[in-house]
Amino acid sequence: MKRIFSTLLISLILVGGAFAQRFVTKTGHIKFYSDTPVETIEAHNRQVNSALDIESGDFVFKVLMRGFEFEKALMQEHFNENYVESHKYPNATFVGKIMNPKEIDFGKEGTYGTTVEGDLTIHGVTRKIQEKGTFTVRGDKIIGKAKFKVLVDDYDIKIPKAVIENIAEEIEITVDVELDKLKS
Amino acid sequence: MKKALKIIGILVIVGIIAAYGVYEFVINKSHPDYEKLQAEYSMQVVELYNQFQDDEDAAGQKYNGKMIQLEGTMNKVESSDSLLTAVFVFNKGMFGDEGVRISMLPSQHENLKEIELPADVKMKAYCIGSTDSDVVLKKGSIVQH
Repeated sequence: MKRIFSTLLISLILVGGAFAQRFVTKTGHIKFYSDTPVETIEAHNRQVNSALDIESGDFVFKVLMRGFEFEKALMQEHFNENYVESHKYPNATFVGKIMNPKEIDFGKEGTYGTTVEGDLTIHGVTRKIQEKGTFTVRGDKIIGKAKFKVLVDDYDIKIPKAVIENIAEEIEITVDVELDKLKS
Repeated sequence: MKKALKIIGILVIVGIIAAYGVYEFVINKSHPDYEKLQAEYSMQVVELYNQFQDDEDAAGQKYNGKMIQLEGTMNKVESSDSLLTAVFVFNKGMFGDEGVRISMLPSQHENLKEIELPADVKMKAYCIGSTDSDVVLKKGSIVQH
């Protein structure tokens, strides 16, 4: 798992050729949101790495789990130590593709709908996902947005019985990345 | 009868105080004051970067989730959204400049903006891991400049 992300990025750079086709960020934002009658929990991570190759449609993320910040310190502790076990699984990754790169004119400003498909790895468990989102082209930037849900159980995340009423079975993930053109 | 009521009353009051204490100091406890936290390790920035380059897993086990005091030459300050990030560059890679990135505490933003670059600094921050291209820390504060 360790270097899969790097390997994919290297191949992403080498296969396509020119740097002008790559857009990257190290400060992407991912929010997760859990809502139950007992409690609403949300956490933000604003240090997300992401890269997009507009020619091939390759799209990758790497998220450091300890980068998530919660309003309550105790929830942040439980998230890292008990639920996602950040000491064992420090990262989450997404390695996939946008399904319609030819339908998006990355040279023309505007907002385009897209579907992204690939492997999402959280807590050491990899599952195939396909989700809808948008890309907005604005000047030299591409802004990617998506909102989707993941089942906690799908990623083998165990919630203790004592707090099972506090955490939703389905967590809403919001992705918001502002990608800059990679300069050679 | 009167004595029993008195004991029950005391127990109720103790129970309320204990419940308040658990809520306030356990369930609702505040985040640590990162600026005041003691660093568990102290080293040159490049040393931390090299350790993650050499063995990411071993370095992650040792430093992730720990406060570290780092000393080195800060090359850049990047601003995005609500983040201000001190950047120590050691390499050029697929993501552009690569090295050690420290997102600063909001209380440190003004101090960081005033520093002329490049600058030798000593900082303290909480290590959250490596993205392959960078070692990433958060809640940074300037110890010395």
